[in-house]
Amino acid sequence: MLSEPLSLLLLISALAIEVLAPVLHLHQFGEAVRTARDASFSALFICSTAFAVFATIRVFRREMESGTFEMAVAHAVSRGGFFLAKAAGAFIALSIFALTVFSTALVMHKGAAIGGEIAAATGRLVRVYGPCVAFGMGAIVLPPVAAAACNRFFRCRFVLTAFLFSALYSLCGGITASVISWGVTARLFPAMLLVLCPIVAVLFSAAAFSMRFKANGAATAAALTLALILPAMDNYYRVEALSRGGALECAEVLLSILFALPAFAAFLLIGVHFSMGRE
Amino acid sequence: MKAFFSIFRLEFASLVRSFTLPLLAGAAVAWMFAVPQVITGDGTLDGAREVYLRYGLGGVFALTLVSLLASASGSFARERSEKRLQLTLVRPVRYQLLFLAKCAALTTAGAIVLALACLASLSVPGENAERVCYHVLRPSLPSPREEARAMYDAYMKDPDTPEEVKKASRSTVMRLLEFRAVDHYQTISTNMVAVWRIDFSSVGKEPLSAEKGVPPAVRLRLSNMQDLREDVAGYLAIGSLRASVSNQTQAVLTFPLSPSSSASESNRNDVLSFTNLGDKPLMLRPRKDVALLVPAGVYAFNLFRAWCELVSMLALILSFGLFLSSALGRPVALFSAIVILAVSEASPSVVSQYPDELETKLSDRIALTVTRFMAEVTRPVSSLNPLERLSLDECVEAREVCRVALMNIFLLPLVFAFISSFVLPRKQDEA
Amino acid sequence: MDNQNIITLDNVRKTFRDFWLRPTVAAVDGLTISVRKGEVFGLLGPNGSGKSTTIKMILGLLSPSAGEVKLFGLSPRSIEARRRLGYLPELSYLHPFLTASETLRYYAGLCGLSRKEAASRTKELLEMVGLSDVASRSVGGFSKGMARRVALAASLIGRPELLILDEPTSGLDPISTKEVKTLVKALAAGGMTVLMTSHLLADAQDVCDRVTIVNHGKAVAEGEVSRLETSLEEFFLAKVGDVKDFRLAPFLGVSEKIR
Repeated sequence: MLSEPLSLLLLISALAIEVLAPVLHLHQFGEAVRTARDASFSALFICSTAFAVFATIRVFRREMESGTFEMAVAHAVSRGGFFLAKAAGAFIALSIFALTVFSTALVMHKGAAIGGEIAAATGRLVRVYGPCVAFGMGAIVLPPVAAAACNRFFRCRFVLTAFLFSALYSLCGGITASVISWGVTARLFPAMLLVLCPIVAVLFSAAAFSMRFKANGAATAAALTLALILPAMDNYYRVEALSRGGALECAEVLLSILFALPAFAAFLLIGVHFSMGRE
Repeated sequence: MKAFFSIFRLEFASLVRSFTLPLLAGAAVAWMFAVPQVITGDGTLDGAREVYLRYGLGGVFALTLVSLLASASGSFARERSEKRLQLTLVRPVRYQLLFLAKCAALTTAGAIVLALACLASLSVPGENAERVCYHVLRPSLPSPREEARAMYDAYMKDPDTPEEVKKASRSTVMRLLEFRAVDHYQTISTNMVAVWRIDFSSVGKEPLSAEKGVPPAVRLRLSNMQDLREDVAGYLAIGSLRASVSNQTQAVLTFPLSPSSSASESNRNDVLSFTNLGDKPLMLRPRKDVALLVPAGVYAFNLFRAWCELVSMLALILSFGLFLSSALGRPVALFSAIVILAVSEASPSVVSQYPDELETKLSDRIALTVTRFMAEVTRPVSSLNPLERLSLDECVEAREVCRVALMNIFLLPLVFAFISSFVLPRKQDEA
Repeated sequence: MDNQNIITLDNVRKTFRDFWLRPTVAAVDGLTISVRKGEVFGLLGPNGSGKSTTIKMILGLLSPSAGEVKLFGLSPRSIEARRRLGYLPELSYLHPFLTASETLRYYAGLCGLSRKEAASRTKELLEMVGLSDVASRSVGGFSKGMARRVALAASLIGRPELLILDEPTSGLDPISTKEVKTLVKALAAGGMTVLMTSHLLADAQDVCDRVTIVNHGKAVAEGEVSRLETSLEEFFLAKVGDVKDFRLAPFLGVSEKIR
């Protein structure tokens, strides 16, 4: 999934929304922290959902259409086991994607917070919060450039290398931001888990329905899953609570995850069922 | 042309047999009947109509656009990856023809879905095919650009003009002045008459006659210095028609004109006048706040013209999706098409909200330049808004329909087809 | 155009390049071939020798990095050259939702045939390939052999002067293979020029008048099949190299001596 050009495009789009939205809108509202948070979680939600649906369907359908599924299950591999292993792989790819986006969110959020402090101290609106924006711009530009260099000199695969460099770069930034102030991470990490819960359900549904339907059908089924599960989980509204300065209760997050687990299990079972019945 | 029809039939058959078209058509009709039950307006009949047209037809248009754009963005890319494209490319078919035939098939499918939705909209209670719509005639004034040009020298010499404006480039200041010209206010003092010449050249022979018992009307929005609600009194006149105005400022109101025996000799047939009989001066923006509404036929024909415009928008966007598909893989083409579509939809409102280019921040200047460029490039689609006109009973002008159809259905897809004809065989080289 | 030569490849090279324009594979390396009118010409070679790349250059699907390809004395991408061409790819690549007869009528339309002409040729060709009974069935449900027959019929729908067959007998049973070989001979006897590639040397020997053997993108031998003193297979092995035994012993976990 990480080798798909679409994955890299989605990742760069997510980072661009995170970095550019606060920069371009900060002076309009003067609410740096809120803008950074909104942009981050919107980017996380929109791009991760697109990644979960399109990249998953593409990878699973290609497996079906190229006959590699039949080749794999001709060996001593159970069909259900094969599906579960692939779904787990897709889940890990989504986790890498989401963590990359989230790590940049931490840096931007931290930068916005610093910007806010300067604004308060000097009484002047701070529009650009230097190092953090520079880091964000670097997250958009540097990994592709480094990957291009690796492709040129070591013949590494561009998309995969760029994706992994991006993940590494952003994670380093995220960890640094967390070490400077664990408070930011502690506030935002539960929100990330909340946003990710329905997306993982959508991922498993896309994977499951890809075993039975063609790409368009699987995408429709995944979209329906999203439409059904999103209001039911009500998670985004709880993330909204952050903007009012509150923190998310751990119990709330755990409850959401517990609520999502049956959905995960249901879609995985559907996927196993479809893969067993595949002819 | 035989090759064209062969490819057209194949593409159309693939849309039908993959159930894309039947499902879309079914969903469109179902949505048109479901909208009145699902979405409620502001309680008025006009509000309900507006909601119905915007969400009903607008929803169907969006659904059709996204579904067919997904098909268009995958068309060449899928055939290339499945190696079927090479079988077509080795046949004696011009690559432009291949592109245009695919585009025509996708557009036809979209046109069918939209036509069904339009027909369904007529069968919903409250929608009247006989309802009269209006030509909207604005006062004949110099264009904002001309007005800006006339203002430029005086504005730059004015000591009150900020220094940073004086340092800015001519094009930047001109753009600023153009924005101002559009919102330029005219003051009408007590007992004074404001007159505007109306150009009837785009309308039929007897523009001021009633149609199906519906007379011409004037749409007016008056304001005052304080932007407060105050009583207004006066009358409107054009030729032998007249209408009394008595309402409040800040409201957009339509006044039907009726024949009057007291028409003064100064009332020419092409001059609309407003006489302020109130005790306070009034203001209005002639380019935005005054419009003469002339009956222009029935709703059913207007709906047909709106359908033509929607189809032309669809044709252009689908041809763009096909063009991307000729050069890129399916997911990347679809992603690019959707991002560009989203940016093109957002850019006109960004440009109108941020008219001031005198931003000192480099990032703002770059973002504005890019947005303005996108707004300009995507104007063939973003400037059209047939559904809004339908909901306001404004006529979708036949002349404009012809112009956009020529541009969006023929010329621009032809340009994309020519570029694609270079890309297609070269892309095959990489496959 | 040379009166006799339908296809001319003059010192053609094709080097595939990566994004940075560095050469990755030299698929064809200075190949010179000429195919004369009315002959059945075989382009033979092991896997990866550059046969398919050569065919794609002849079809105009790839452009040569150097050298010149002419089809009927014209550029392979010209409409006039493509009008006189029929092509059967290695795999059938049919539109799965079309029926057999719709597939043929579609390609007839691409060749500019009238509706009446397309219908009569479709009927003729379906009878010829033995698929009249399943003419109204979707080709998506066809077996590989049946799909191959539809593709063969589609390649002939425009009555081409030149027929390019990429592995024409691949996926066919022995009886169908024989029928295809008979068909190719009959088409050649009717004046059609045929260029074919095949891994099955016996098939090539039965059908081809002249062959060129390519290896690593270069022509290593060329000659008329009738003048060969040995079988085509022996000739091929002599030019391309001997069969290499798989080294099975380590895989099977036994001593080499057992062999």
